[in-house]
Amino acid sequence: MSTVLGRGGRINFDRVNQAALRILPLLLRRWLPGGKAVGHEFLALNPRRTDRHVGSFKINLGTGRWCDFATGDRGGDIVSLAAFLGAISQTEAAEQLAKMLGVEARDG
Amino acid sequence: MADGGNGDTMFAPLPEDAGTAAATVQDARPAKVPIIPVPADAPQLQFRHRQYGAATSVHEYRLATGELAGYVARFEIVEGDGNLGKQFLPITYCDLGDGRRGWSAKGIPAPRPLYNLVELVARPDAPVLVVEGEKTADAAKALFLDFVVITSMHGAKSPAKTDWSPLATRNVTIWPDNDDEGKKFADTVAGLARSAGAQSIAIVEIPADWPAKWDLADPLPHGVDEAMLRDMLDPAVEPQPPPEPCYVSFGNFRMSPEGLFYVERAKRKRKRKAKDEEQDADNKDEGEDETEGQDETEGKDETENEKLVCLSGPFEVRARVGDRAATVGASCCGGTILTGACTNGRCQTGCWAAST
Repeated sequence: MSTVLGRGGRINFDRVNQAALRILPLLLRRWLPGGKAVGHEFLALNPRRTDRHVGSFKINLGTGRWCDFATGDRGGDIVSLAAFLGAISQTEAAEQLAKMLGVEARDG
Repeated sequence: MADGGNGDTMFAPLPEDAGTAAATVQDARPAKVPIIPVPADAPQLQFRHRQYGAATSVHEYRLATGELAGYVARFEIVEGDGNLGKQFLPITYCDLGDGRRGWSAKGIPAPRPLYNLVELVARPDAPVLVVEGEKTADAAKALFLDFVVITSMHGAKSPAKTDWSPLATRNVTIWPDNDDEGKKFADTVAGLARSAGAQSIAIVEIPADWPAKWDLADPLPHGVDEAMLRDMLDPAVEPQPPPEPCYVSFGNFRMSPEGLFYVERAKRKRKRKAKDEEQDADNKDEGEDETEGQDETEGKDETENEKLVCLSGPFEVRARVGDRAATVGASCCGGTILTGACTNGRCQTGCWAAST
């Protein structure tokens, strides 16, 4: 799914994700301080639960795919990660990310 | 994000040097690459975790050949809140980059070997008991000597990443931990064992009044003795032959244990006339249908005139979904869910969109 209808056109999730992917390490250091890159993955404590041990919550630095293997929470891109971490909707996460990254969230 | 999701700080404006800063975190540490099996010249396992210290117990994983694949180490630790906790880490002999090698906390890549695989292979007629966790497996092994007790790496979360194919033709019983995770694990393992071709599969019923999370490594519940545990296994062990697969063929499509084939029949009626008598004598059982045709060669069996075009491995129709309500979250609005073996031997489930 890459578009959602809303006021002012469809959200272009692909565009937002592409822009976010280019600075993903920077975003992760901001969102998950204390995390570290190991190979192509970023490992951090999951702030959405009482997570005491690094290792279950992983984000792929190349693709933005992420998963908490302890809980099964997962997503395929950075918008869904931002939505998960911020406890906000994907639409709102996409709009906020777009604003920060200086890209248009919506088509048309 | 420890503040629990403050959108203001999450999406605050980026610093000026965002572009250059981005590259630095990526190369922080080279990836460790496990060497499976552990080479013969590797030193004995030496591992001390920076935070957890020395392991309280270590469990070996070996390949079917007997070669060492790696370990699962159990650490008993004091949590931040003062409570005792446990933590498990896989340990493998790794290529650490720059020509260095050593024992490191890195998992065995999938497909992983089963725990006790060597014994499973060595006792081909023994019934198999699957439990959750290595500690439980060791305890169950001492309780039920006639069983080969196995488990998969990393407990309930990722049984699908283990290679269950050695369960082909075996009688498999699963003893779940007494919680929801345990039930889910048992169901998943039952499915994996079925795909692997197990002869029979049974899941032990745990009485509702037993302690939560109880497993075979725990003290016996009040009023229960070892003979009663044994009795719980026995009814489950009765081998139930798996249902015969029902292969459905239609039209020119033929499904068999080998897979789905398209049957191309030669349509050469012209040869028939001249050789009718001769061939009818040779092939009494055929000729009820004109389209079957015959080759010039004498005495050919009907099937030799068919060209089988392999379309796929055998697959099973799991469900048909027709309306939007049933497919919320799926990317199609209707179709068929199929399970089948890929060319790599793994079982996969996929959704086939209806071509309406």
